[in-house]
Amino acid sequence: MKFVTFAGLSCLAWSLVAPVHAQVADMGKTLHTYFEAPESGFDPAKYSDHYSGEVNSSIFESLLAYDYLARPQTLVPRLAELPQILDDGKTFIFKIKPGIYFADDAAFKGKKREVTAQDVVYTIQRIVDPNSRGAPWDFMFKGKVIGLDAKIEAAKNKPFDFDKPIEGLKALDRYTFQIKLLRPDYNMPYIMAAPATGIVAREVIEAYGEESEAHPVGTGPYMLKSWQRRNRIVLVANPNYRGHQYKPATGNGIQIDQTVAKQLEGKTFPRIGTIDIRVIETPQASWLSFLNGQLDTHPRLGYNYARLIAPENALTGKYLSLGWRYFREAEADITYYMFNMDDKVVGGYALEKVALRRAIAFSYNQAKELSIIRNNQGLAAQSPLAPQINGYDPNFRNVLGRYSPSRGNALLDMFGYKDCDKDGWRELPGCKPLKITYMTSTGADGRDQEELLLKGFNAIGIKLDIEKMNFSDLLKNRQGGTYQFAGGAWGQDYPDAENFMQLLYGPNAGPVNESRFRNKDFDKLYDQIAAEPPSEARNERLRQMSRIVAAYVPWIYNINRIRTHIAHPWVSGYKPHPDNMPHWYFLDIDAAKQRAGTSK
Amino acid sequence: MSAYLLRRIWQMIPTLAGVILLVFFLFNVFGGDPAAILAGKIASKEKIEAIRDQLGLNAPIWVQLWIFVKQVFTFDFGNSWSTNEAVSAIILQKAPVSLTVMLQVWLLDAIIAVTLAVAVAYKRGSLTDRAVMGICTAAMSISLLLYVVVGQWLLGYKLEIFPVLGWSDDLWTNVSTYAPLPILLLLFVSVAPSLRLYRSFVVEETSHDYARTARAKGASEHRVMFVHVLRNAAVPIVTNLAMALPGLFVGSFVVEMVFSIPGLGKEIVTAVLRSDFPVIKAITVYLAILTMVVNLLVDLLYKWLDPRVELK
Repeated sequence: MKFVTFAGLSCLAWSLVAPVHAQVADMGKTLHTYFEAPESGFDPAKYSDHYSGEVNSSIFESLLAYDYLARPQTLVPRLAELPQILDDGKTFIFKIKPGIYFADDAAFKGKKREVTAQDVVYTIQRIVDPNSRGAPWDFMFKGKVIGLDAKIEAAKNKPFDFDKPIEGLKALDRYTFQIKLLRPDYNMPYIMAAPATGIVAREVIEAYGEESEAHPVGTGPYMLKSWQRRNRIVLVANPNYRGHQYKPATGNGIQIDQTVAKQLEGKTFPRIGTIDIRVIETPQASWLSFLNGQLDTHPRLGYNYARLIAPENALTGKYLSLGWRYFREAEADITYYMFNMDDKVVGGYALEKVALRRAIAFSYNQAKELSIIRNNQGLAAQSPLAPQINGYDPNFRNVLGRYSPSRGNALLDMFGYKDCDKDGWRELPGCKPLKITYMTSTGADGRDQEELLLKGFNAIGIKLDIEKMNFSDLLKNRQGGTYQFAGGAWGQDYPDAENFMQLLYGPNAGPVNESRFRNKDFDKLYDQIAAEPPSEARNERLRQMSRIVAAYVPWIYNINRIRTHIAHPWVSGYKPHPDNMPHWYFLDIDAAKQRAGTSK
Repeated sequence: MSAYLLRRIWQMIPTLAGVILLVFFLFNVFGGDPAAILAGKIASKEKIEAIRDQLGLNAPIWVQLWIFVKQVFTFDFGNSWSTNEAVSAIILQKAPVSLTVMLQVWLLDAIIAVTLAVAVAYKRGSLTDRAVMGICTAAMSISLLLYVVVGQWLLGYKLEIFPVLGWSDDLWTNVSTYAPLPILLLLFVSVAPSLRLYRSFVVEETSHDYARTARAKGASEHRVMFVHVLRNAAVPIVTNLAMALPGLFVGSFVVEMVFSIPGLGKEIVTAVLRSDFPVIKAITVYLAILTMVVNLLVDLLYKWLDPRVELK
């Protein structure tokens, strides 16, 4: 009897401390969704395209994650607890939760494989290994971690030495990982939440070698079941997954979508057994597939269809009556036009050069771009920052950002940009020829933007040439500084202003700071904001940086994109996240309603 | 005959060399730098150079050309630069998909166009002939894109006769469920010009002396048409049909994109957008070889269809 009581108590105690058990997913439920462009491969260190990242985020787990519903984006524990921060932001210690296992794989030879701190050390080194198909994510750690750059340098033309210990990356014990930085960087925890830092097991990577992208093995809620490359990806629930219950983050200023929170309440995730993803590259095809129920969710609806279903930014009666769930979310990104500040014509910091750029900025009709070209699916960008990130101030206004060709003409007249030869076009001061070339990609669907630019340039009497080239050449020209005027876009790697302000930081002139803007005051402020945690004083410094950019006009702000996402009424728990990842494991499906909806 | 065959095969070598040179120089001049794409969001010059080294793009131009030539003769084009997948595997997976659609289009187009061509040529000048030709002209004037967009909406979504899109791993499901709508829409575009062309072949033959002689000898109009005329009209018809064969492998990229069919046409577009040279050069070279082989087969077919033809 005593034994029975003891056993019963033991079971009770175990059930209280053990993680929520796996296999809660209903294998009879399938979520049908889509990608608008093809994926490349499922190895987080090797591929940087967005759609591979979406799949990776469901198969692999990073040490930390973003709370699903909290806005602004808030870090929460995932594989590890939130880190202990030491040395004023130079050292971070992560405690990994014991008892988390990778999905089963032949590489583990029939044994359960637990995640350890050594896996984190290995994963980070793989991210910077130049042999990992050029290491597209190395910028997250390169130049930051003590001893890491020397290892990268040593790996040129020979295999990376994963076993040589370095000061910056250490497994202090089986479950404790420490990262030591050269300079304070409070964004490191955000980096440890990026899908690219999804933890991999060394034996799996070594077992599959060059084919690692086809054999993703992680600790996440899903596993790859089948992959018809660039057409269809099927994920199934990972039976080793520990299960997850959503508990909303708390804290000052955090807002939670209560409707979705109620849908998640008390449930253990994942609920859906299979995620069926199709690559559908034409907007009409994905729209019709959603309409007839072939798709359960339609993330990132095309601008035209977004306007069709919600001309006033709310679902119209017909679609409302279908019970669709509708989300209109600002993305953490920005699009802009940029000048090459090293260019002899449009670059430079002399007054007449600033005047030329300001005049061009006055000729750009941002409101028209937003309302006509973008169908109002965006916000008029006012600073280099994007919504949904630390440091973004929705009330900040770019005082010089207005459409006024007359002001532009007045400025140009004042600084000697006159039509010397009376051919209808202005010349540079001193009557030297003036022609600006706008570089753009042949693949981009940007004819409307080009026409708007031409119209603006015509209004201030400046000749604009449009030069089209393939995307890779455009990238090379932008990053190599062999352009005058071009378009740019940036989406968050982590939700902090520093991730955006780095694009204008003088020492980054080149592949990061493509406009090659150099300003001592801006750089000084950047050094400060890069080394401090969020605060009101930091926000003020960010505003000051935005004013400097507005004054010198290396960029003409375009828009912060808003995306429309829809889901059928049988899908619950759906909420697009600013990190742009799908978070499928929080979704659930009412299978009976799904059957009824798709059989109509 | 064997001397003729040997000579034709020998002549393929300079043609293939021309194709290799053209593809190689076109890619090197206009193809873009895949390293810039592979390097990710923040790519330093050194990083791009390192990737170019890995891809072999920094090797001297003649070394790159020699590697290309070796690849052509060993049929081993290595791996895709963008996805790391073996190029041969890509072609082996994607070509049958394109063929599943295009072979049916080719066959049905031939059957429908030849049958109708003979029928309207038989009734040439009649109201039926003029009506069919008028419909053909109208059908040819509409772009494939419009057929596809409207067809998908009307027949796929509105009338629910076919699925809006899709593709499965099972051949029968594809043939019976997913392929019919793309095939139907492609036929709308392909039958009209084929029909007009074949009709002109048939009509031309009916006006020849041998047809008149056959009629004069009392042969029925049916016999004249199906035994005498069609046999002679078959030569240009077969040529036309055979010349379309290489195109079947690369499919129709418009249809493959819109209906999410994972065929070779869609693959070519993706490869071009990603500057994925191994995929581009493999498909181009295979296609060139296929075209040359088909040309040779067509010439042999001439001889079989019309023994008067001399192969020199």
